Amino acid sequence: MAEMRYPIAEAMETGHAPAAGGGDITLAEIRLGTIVQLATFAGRRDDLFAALAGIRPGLEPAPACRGHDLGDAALLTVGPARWLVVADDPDLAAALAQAVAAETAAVTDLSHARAIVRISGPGAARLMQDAVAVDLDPVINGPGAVIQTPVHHFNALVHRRRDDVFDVYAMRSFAGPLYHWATDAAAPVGYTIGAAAGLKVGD
Amino acid sequence: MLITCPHCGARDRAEFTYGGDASVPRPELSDLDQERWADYVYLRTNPRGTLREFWHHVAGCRIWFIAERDTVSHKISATQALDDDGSAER
Repeated sequence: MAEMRYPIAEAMETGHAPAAGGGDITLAEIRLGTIVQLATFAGRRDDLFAALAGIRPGLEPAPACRGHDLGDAALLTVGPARWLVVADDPDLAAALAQAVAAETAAVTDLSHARAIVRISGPGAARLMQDAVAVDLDPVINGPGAVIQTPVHHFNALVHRRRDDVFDVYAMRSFAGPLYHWATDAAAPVGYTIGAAAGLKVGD
Repeated sequence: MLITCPHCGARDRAEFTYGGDASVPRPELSDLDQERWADYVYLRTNPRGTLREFWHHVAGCRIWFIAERDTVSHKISATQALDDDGSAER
């Protein structure tokens, strides 16, 4: 398997913390082994989830604009009959391609195609609410929400993993704008660059 | 202005692009009459009142859907998915 290269690895210097503010926010690059889009053909949804259950039990369908989160893997509902599987395991993409029959769903490996920044900490929800025109009140879009919407003029997917943990996915070619937006937006309150990590959220 | 995407719910109008009049019937692909195709491609009636339109949730879930919009007030009275059954999952 080709070695994975992550688009903002050099920009995000672990431990860097601008002087301003109290450091309410941590920014970290998320490095995933697998990002796969699954798009079922008409009437084949049950076949898809039967195949998924065989290779990664627990990856069950979530309602529109929500994710089913297993900690080290998640299934995000991103459209009608369209899901993203994201996981730490780099072998899961190949396993999905193998397990899902060609007449069931289109399986598209996007593992190299996204840049992801995790924004976490007590100031994260306020920062994100300033960035998106979608209500982040926990009653409406609390933990589990999957929101596809523009962030600072590029299209992004925001997965709210916890109340104060947001994973922001952008197209890989927007890695620079994603990084610069996140650091600019967090600068007024102060931030720390955390170590690059996988999907798991620490307790 | 908010538009209700059939999949994502109410979202800012900036997330959408307009896809044209959905009430114009397309000729059969086997139809070779140039006048009928020219009418389909170029002629629009610009009605006053409710119009069925295609819209694309391009910055969101990327589905195409139909919206009923009042061309005077811009009020969108209904939106409908183009799926087989109109539901968010199939």
